[in-house]
Parts: sequence; C-alpha cells; structure tokens
Amino acid sequence: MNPKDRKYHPKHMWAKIDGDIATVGITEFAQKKLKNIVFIELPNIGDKAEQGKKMGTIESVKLVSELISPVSGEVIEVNEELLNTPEIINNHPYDKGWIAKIKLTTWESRKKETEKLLSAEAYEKEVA
Amino acid sequence: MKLVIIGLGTSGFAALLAAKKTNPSIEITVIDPKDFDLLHLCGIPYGIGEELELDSLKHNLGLEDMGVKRIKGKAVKIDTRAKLVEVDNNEKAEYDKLLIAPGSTPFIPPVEGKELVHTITPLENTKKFKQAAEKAKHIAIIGAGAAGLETAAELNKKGKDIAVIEMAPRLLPKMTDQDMSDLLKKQLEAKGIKFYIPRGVERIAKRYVLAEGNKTIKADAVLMVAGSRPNISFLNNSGILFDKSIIVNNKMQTNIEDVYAAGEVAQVKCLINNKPGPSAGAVPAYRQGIIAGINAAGGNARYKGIIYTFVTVLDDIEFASVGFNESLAKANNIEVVFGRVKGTNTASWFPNAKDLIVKILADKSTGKVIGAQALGPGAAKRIEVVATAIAAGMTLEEMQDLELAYCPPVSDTYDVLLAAVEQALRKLKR
Repeated sequence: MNPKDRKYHPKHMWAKIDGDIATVGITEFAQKKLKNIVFIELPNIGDKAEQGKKMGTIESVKLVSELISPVSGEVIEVNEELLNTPEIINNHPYDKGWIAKIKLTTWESRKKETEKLLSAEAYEKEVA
Repeated sequence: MKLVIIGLGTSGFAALLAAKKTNPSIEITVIDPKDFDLLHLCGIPYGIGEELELDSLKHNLGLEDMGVKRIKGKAVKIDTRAKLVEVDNNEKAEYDKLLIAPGSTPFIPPVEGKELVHTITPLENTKKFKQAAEKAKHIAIIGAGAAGLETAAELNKKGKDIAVIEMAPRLLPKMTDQDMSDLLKKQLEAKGIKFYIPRGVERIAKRYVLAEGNKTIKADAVLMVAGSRPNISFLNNSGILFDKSIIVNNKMQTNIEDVYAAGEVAQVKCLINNKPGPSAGAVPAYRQGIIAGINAAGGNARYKGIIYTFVTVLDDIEFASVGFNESLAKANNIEVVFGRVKGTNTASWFPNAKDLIVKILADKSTGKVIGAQALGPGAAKRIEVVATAIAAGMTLEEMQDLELAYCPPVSDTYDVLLAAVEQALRKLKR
C-alpha cells in the first residue's frame, strides 16, 4: 500500500525525490492513526528543514502530532490547499495530500540522508 | 371584529389560533378550496412511499368547534376599499382585517411534453403520481430539492429505479455547498439512486426524459418538483404591493393597513443580510401566521426574521442546514471562512459510531456565523445550535463557549460542531 517510488522516514513521513527536489507528506499509517485531520500548520516558504526535526504540526480532533522532515533543505513550496481542506490528507496521503517541496541541500548530504531513509518494504516492517 | 383568512395552510391555521387566543370574540372566516382542512404537505413524500397513507396527511381542525366559518373556494378578488373578498363560488366575505396566506403552486417549466409530468400537490395529483409510480419500473424526478430527494429516497426503498435530474450543479442547491452536496450525492448513489446533474430537461416523452447532452433517461412516470410559485395572481389591481411575493413589514402587514400576508406568499426580512427574501418552509410560515394573527386581532407582535433552518431525512441519511451557503454569501458580498470537520455522531469510541460531517460558515470580516451544513445522524441537533447562534448574532469566538449536551450514544465531550467552530476560528486568526 505504500508506493515504492519513494523513501520513508520512521516518523511516518515519505519523501519522493526528483532531482534535487523532495516532495514530502505523511504516510497512510499516520493518517489512519490520526483519523479525521482538522488542522495543519505548514512550514513557511524559505524555512530550513532538517532531517528528523519538526517542520510543522498536524492535528486531528484528538491528536496533535509533529510533522518531522524526512530530508534537509529549503522549503520552496507548500500545499496551501491543506490550509482550507486538511482532510485531503486522509483521502489522498500520497498524492493530493502532499505537504511541502524541499530543495535538498547538497549532493553529499542528499546521499547520506537518503541512505537513512527506508524503502517501502522496510517501512512496512517498521509499522507492522 | 371580522378576520378573513385566505388559505388554510400552515400560516392560516397558526393565525387562526393566535387570533382566537388574542381576542376570543373575534369572528373568523376561512376561504380555502380544499374539501378538508389542513394538509401536512411536508409528509407527502413519505405518503408516496410506504411510511404512511396519503389520506392520513389530512387534518381535521375542528373549525366548527372553534366557531370558525369556512368558505370552500378560491379568492379571486380583493376590494381593499369596500373591505371585501370575492370567491370563485360567487360568495363574498366582508372583513375588518384580512390575512392573505394561500401558499404556493408547483412550478412547471415550459418544456416539451410538460403535460406528461406529475406534480406533488394538490393531493389529487399526488395520488395520481403514487398510482403511476406503483406501476412504473423506472421513475424520473426532475428537481433535487427537498421534496424531490425525499420522494426519490422513498420510492427507491420500494425497489424502483430512480433517476433524479437537476439543473443546478448541486443537490439541495439553496442549502448546500459543492463539497457537502458531493458527499450527500455519494451516499444516495450508494443506495442505488442515479443522478443526472447538472442537466436541464429538453423533452419529456411517454417512456423517457431527454436531458441536456442528448441523454435519454428511461421513465415510466415523471415527477416535476422544480420549485413553486406563490399564489398571488389574484392580487393584480388590488393595490396590495408585491414583487415576486407580497411585501410586508415586521408585523406581517402589507402596504394596506388592515391587510396581512404570511407564509410562501410573503417577502420577509432575512436575519443574515437584513434584506427582504422569500419565505420558505413550514416553520417560518407558522411563526409568521402567529404574528399576523396576533396583530390582526388587536395584539402586538413582531416577526424577527428568517434564517432558513432546514432538515431532510432521505432513507436513513440525515442532512440539515441553516443560513447562507457559499454561493448566497458570495451573492451578498460576504467573504467566508469555514470550518469543516468529519467527526462522529456519538462519542468516537462508542460502538457503531457513524460519520457526522459539520461545516460552519462565518463572515471573515466580523467572525459572525452565517450558516452551517451537516450530514450524518444527529445533523439536525448540530444545526439547531447554529440556528440559535445565528439568531443571537453570535461570532465563532462566542460559539466556542457553548456548553452542549453530552452522553456517549448521542454526542462527544468535544462535539464535532465545536471542532468545526474551532477550525474556522483558527483559520480566521491565521
């Protein structure tokens, strides 16, 4: 159920890397755990994201959870549609529910960071 | 003191009771064409289905016991100088005070084959449609308002193949936003009802309806429920001012001092934009009837305004709304902030908790609540709270402090309505 075209962070985030841009979002496991998402605090464009560090918050009626960035770099785009309709994430966590686009720092750090991320299979074992 | 009431519907009945309570010696004459007293119009879809017998919707009011005189007929002319109403059976009724409350008539658009359609009222037409529907396999319903959808749901329960055709892009177009309409449509489609929307009707034939885009929809019976028009044509040259409906003040008084109007023929103040708007539905009609009845009988009462509180039950689906939707807000130049939350009808941990989606709309510049829509079991309970909030002129901020009733089978400690209010408020402050 987790697409194989991307990498996963154990804090339930995914990163789909295309060149030096990573699109990030939360996983199916995370959206299910949160249940009905009602609010999201997105990072600002220009913010520095750091792998494993908080980049925003996501809330359901009964949970407030941190969004942990799966990669490091500069936030260049956020999914503003989520501000009005955060429940898109419940229905489409892997496409329409993407959270931000991050321009990766350098080639070396990108390689090092990518190695730390999990494949879809490894992530599935992690949450099983 | 003689009070004449034209029309024995919700408003006329309410006015009659209120006038009697205000002034027990008042002489009341009611002019109405039906051969029975009151008809519970809102029950008709359930009478077309299997819930109840159509004849059980007739209500005998015991007018004689109340000393009320009845003229069976339709008012055809009002002479406001002579204070006289002429009836189509040639009877005449003199009045000191007059209430005009004849309700509305189903509107049939000028479409080819329109003589083949059924209408939902009056009762003899309902009965004809019910008979036709019983024999039919495929039924087309033109119009996705409350009556159309309720009838569709009832006939669908009986195993009929139902197609609903609607010109607007939404179901219940005056009440819903696109998002809520889409959710409602999905639930009705899951029950087997087919929707052709947005699509106009081009032609009606014996066994089919031709809809826009050259779409042929099988139909052995066709019901037209494309709205209604107030029964006011007899007011031409009466001197009583009307536009699309009769203009009244907050005493339900027309431009002629001793003449009142109430219900679907009246144009009343809408509490959300403080502008005149059409009266719609039985609840405002009842209230307006009371106000008119009290004032006509010598009392003193004021109608506060309409906010269009609404609920419908479609099979086991409950949808409720109040106030303006996004398109009405836009038409009134109100910029909207909304909160929309999918929660549960019961405590979230309670067995068989069902989805309940609440959307609340507020004016972005003031935070004032202007409307709400809810879909799911318990929708009406939430909408009634919002209706109260709108009537009180509350803002989102003020609504946060509301203390709602809680017990696990019917609500949650933090109700889905308040979660929607919180979401809207935080969007507003962002």
